[in-house]
Amino acid sequence: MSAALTGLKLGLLYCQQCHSTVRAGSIAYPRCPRCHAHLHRRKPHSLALTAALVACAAALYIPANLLPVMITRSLIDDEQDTIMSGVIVLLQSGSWPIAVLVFIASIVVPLLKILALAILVYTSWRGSQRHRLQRSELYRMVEFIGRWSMLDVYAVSLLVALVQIRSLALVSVGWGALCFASVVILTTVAARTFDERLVWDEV
Amino acid sequence: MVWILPAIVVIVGAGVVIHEKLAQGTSIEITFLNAEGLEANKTKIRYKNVEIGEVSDIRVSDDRKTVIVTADIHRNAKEYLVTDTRFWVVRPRISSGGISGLGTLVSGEYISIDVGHSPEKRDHFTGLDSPPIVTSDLPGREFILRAEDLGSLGIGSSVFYRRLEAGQVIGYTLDPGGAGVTIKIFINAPFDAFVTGATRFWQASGVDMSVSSDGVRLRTESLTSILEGGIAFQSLPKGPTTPAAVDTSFTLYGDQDRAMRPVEVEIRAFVLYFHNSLRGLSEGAPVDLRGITVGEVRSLNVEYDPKDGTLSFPVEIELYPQRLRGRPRHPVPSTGAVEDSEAASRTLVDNLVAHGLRAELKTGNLLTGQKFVALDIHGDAPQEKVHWASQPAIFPTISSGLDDLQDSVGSIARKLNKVPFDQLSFRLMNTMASLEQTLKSANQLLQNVDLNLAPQVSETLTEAREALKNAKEVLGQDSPLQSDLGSTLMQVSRAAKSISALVDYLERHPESLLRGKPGDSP
Amino acid sequence: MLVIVCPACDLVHRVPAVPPLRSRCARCRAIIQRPAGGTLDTAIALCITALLLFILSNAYPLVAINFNGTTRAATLFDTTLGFYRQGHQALAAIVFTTTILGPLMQIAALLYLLVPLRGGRTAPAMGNVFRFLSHVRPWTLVEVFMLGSVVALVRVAKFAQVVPGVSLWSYALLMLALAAVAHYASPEQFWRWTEKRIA
Repeated sequence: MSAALTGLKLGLLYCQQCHSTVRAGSIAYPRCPRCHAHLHRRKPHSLALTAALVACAAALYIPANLLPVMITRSLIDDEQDTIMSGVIVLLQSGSWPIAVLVFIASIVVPLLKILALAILVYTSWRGSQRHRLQRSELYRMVEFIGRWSMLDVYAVSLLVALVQIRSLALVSVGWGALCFASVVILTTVAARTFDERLVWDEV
Repeated sequence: MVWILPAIVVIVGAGVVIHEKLAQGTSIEITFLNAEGLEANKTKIRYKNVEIGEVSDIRVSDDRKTVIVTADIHRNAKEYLVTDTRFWVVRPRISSGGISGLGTLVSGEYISIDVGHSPEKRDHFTGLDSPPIVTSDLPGREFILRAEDLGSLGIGSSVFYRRLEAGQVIGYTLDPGGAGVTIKIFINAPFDAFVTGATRFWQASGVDMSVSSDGVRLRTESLTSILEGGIAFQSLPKGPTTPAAVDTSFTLYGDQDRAMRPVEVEIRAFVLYFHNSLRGLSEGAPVDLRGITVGEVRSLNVEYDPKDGTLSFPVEIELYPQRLRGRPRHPVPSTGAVEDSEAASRTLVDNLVAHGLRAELKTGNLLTGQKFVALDIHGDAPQEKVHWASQPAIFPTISSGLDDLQDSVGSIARKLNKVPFDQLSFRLMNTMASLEQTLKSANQLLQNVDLNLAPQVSETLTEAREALKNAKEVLGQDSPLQSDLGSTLMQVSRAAKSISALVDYLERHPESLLRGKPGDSP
Repeated sequence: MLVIVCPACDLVHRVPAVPPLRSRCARCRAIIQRPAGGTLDTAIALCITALLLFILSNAYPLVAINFNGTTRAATLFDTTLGFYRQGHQALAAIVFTTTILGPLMQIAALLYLLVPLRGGRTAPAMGNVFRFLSHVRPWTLVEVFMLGSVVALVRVAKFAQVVPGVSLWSYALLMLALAAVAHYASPEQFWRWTEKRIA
């Protein structure tokens, strides 16, 4: 037991919504005095929920990359694009900065998120006390970066809406896009269900 | 202070909205029979090939008979949308006017617009099925022609003036009652100024071949008119010269001759009775007076007289006495009254008939066999008069020379028929037999001669030869006779010489006859 | 002086009520306090700006492309419709929520909460709306959409002529406006205003 004073020790609760610190008392289900949100010492079932969500995300990550996200039907042929092939197309057509951007945002980041969350869950579950700062920063990065993975889905949405010209191409969305969006959503929710304080909790 | 931010956004937003509203065009609906070649968000509307709008939506009408095409027209073309503006789809088309719209095979079909002149605005239009023949900005005028049938004309067929293309057929309909056809034509400027009250239109389609007593005549207007039919027009030499008003109605004649025929002021109908076949004579055949057409055959009929059992052929003709009058050498004072003119022409005709004017059928052209009515003065014709009493008047006729020829040939044939050929042949045979006999005896005689006479003859010939030899001897070059003869001749010539000398001397000295020669004294 | 706990590591801190600067946790460097932002008016003005920009973003097409004479334009809602029409309703719902519904709800909720404050009152069901707002906030991905549309337009520009519309610019400005709103109307700030006005 370290000398650090934590809210847990002092019976102080933190309201996630209004960011206020509340003295708990012994009420069974305390509510925040300001915003009436339910207060918890730690996010309920944090590890279990997060683990489940991460597992789902990981499962969906494979089809998200294998199934085509976009199908382009032109006069010449039908082209099925996965996220990766989209990156390659961008590379081949010369816009390599965009290609790099899409690659990082759509392939690297979700993977990172899943891995990071998996690590966080595991280390917290194991009660590891090492590299707590790094783990905290890892978590914050995950939280921040997470949203940008949706980038490719939005790109597809605009293409689907615009490119419906018979003489050019007819774009339709593939199931890979839904899988991918689900991965993003699941990881985002997973990041929210994970309680960062578990990193710092002493076992 | 910070409120400026929303204020800016409001202003900018309002500006955008206003800009969009101002730049907005109008939406119109055009109804077509089908949407072939049309595509929403793609097919353009073009005016003189400048893009003025785009098709935004195509849907089938509620009654499923037509297609409603919604088009957005640009702002600056809004003023084109008036009541008589027309729309049609430009696509490759083959029509009598030619092939059009081939460019759309590459560029895609578009809708073209012909802007009207009405002041009234409109936003619902009915599209045309095919491009209009004349657009509303083409200068010229429309006229109406009435014809019995359409012939080989169609929409787009050309109208010619002096072989130049002056206009086109833009439409035609069957007359109510089905009695004829009304054709609408459009004559381009400046040719429309030549259409006057005295203009005549005729069908100049294809090849105009006429077979008449004048022979066979071939006429065409142009190569195009052979293919697609055409109309030609020209004004009569005498007549009003003010251009005809729009939509004036004209008759469409079958050919140029009929069209350009001057209107006859005076027409007198007569009937001619012929007794020989009328084959070759047709309605419209000319009545000709020594080469000048003075009338026309109106109709051919048959009359059967039950009393005699004969057939006669009354031919109704129309004479134009105006042409007979022509230019008299002694001008006749004209009185001007109609009755007088009637009487005057009667008098004229009577006069001519009294002098032997008769009508007869003649073959105008041996090739076609076409006949015509020929009027001519026959001095030896029996006296006849015009029967003015019957309606129409009966004009005296005379049978034609050909008929006479036929008669004489007929009579020769009859005569030949009378010759007793069988009898003649019998006699001939007898003569032949005796001739044969004579020949036989002659032959015998000749044989005789050869046997008997021949040696005697040769004897005679030998004696003759002897005699000739003798004669030769006597008369030969160096025969005594010859030399004697020679000396004698010499003496004679000496004597002659002296006599001539004497004569000469006597001539010089005629007194010597009396006195004698000097030197000779008695 | 206030006693607060670090939201990241649960460490207790004693801090002034209104910090002069952004303060971080002693242990884990997480931000535990933000300084006072702008005025309520600023926040409301920004919200209204964002609302106007939002309306503008949906009124006109984001972008139009021109290929061989065919033009095609798409509004923001068309992106949702595109997915919906192709049978991907779930995806359509996701796009709709994150690009249209989310921002709208955020702006609406904020205005709902802030405007009465200006008049010295608190909005009815303030707590619920506030919680609703904090749940909606992470699902507004306007800036991600902007970047995604840039990627898409780069791909299309290879084949067709791309004409950005008014709405594209206004959506970009909306992105900035929302960022500004998040900065000026943070939950902390909101409660400070609330306490100030009520008090």
